[in-house]
Amino acid sequence: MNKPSSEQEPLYMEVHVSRPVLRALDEPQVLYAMATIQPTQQEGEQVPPPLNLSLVFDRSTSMAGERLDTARVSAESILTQMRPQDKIAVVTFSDRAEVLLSTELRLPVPEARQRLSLIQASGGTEIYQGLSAGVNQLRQVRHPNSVDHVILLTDGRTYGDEAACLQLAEESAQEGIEITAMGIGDEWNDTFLDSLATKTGGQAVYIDNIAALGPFLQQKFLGLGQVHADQVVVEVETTPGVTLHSAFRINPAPMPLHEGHMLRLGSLFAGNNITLLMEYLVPPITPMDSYEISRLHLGAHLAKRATNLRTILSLSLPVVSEPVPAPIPGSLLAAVRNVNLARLQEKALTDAQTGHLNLATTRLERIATRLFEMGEPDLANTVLSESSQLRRTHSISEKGKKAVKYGTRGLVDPKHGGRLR
Amino acid sequence: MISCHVCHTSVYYGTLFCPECCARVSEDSSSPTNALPAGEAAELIPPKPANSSHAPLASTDRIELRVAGNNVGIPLFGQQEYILGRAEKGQAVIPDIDLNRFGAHEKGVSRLHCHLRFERNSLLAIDLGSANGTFINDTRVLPDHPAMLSDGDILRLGNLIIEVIRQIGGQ
Repeated sequence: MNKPSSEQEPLYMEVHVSRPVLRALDEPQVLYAMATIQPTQQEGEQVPPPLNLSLVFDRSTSMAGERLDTARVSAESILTQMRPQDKIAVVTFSDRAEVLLSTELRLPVPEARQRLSLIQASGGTEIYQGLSAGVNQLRQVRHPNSVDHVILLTDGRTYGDEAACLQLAEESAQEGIEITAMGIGDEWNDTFLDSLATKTGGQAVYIDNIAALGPFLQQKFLGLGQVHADQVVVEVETTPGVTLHSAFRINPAPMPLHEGHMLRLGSLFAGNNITLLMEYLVPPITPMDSYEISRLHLGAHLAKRATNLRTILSLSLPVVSEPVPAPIPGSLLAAVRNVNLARLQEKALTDAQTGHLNLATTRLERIATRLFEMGEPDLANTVLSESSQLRRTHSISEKGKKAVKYGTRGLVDPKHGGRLR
Repeated sequence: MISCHVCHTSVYYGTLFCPECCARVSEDSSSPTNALPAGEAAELIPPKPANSSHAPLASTDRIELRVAGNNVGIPLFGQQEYILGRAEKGQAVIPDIDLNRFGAHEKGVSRLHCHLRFERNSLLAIDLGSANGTFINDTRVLPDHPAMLSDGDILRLGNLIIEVIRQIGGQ
């Protein structure tokens, strides 16, 4: 386990690795590292940071009825719980965006409710319109000690403006604005929303049942109001020859992390930690006392203190000629297994989309086998059902695809209770 | 490179789970599974007992595993699932039923060999990518395909022969 030298910092990071030593080999080898970022101590009675929140709701025709009604009621509930220091905007969009409630003008709740009641479903889905308006609402009120967050809710696909949305997400990340992207139903573009959220350290959420929307928004709102740190980022500086093969946020909200060495991890909620799994490919090496695999630069915005933190941890291991058997931490082993499953299903779904049906079904059946072994029969049967459908119809349903993707991804979260038996 | 023992994908040293089938990959050679000569195991298989009823198993039944040549029954009671294999020092995941005392190492049983699970009144066996295979009545259980066990079935892990015995209603 590696720890940074100073535990006086408000956050610290510890790293567990899959092996206590590297092996001298004339070929590459894999090393897994699981980093956990957590508060050093309780923050005491400091005033929670102000929250600037933009709720960006799709009001296209397909949102009519229960979906839009639930979104409206959820927003109303949040309005009644705003603290004096919070600022909330509500933006709706279809082919264009409307700012119903602005961060700059706090209306009395009855008047705000009245405005929300005017939301009507119509038109298409142009996400950039809404996202841009929502981000601008935050830009107008940003402050060094504020937590700035966009929650995007959509049930459809946006056409022609995806690149602009992703560019906006990049800019938002630079400015410290995090995006949670929520997809309702089955027709939204999961790959796009994943990318959008991941670029900012946020989260993509699959809302299969509209009844889950209210509780999720409520929980998110309360959590954001109590964050210990936001804009948490780990920059992975690898030693020449070492490759960061992949990275995955384990907790909270399991997500594959954006390719590259800048891993945006989002917010550290009070009472929680952030865990990420990294897979390194180490080049051929000879025996030595210590080999530095990478330096991990931890950065975070400490809203309560209106400061930014930066600290560095060196990940180094000795290199020996013979293997040294050692137990692997159970949490690391479970994380690697579950991330492996999540990645295999991504490959299977890509196979299905690119017409490699035999490979896709084989991979899905292998996933199902592992899920049965893990005691996840419901998800395993869902996967098998999609595999059968793929074999019969040469296509996979959007609903099935999302159920497999987000179900498998959900296993990665330790709170799910995934077990190694 | 090392090879996944289930799907034979080549992976780098240090890989923990095969990226192609998610089976556990182990490069630890401290206690490797004995590889059995081809055909050796088949000669040791007793014929399936004539009284095999093939009745579905109920969770209320008392089910025992009885290793050939040993009178002690291993009850499957109190859990929904069991991993059969060999427990070794330093092993991260230990099996629920350690078969070492039955000469499992010599008989080619892997450390994590086979998974038994009760599901909807059935007892299923799933091979965990073992080196020498899991067989039910001489039919190989493929790693990706759970197979149902019935009363009187012969479960073979490598060369270790186990009879599945049901006592109706726990009697």
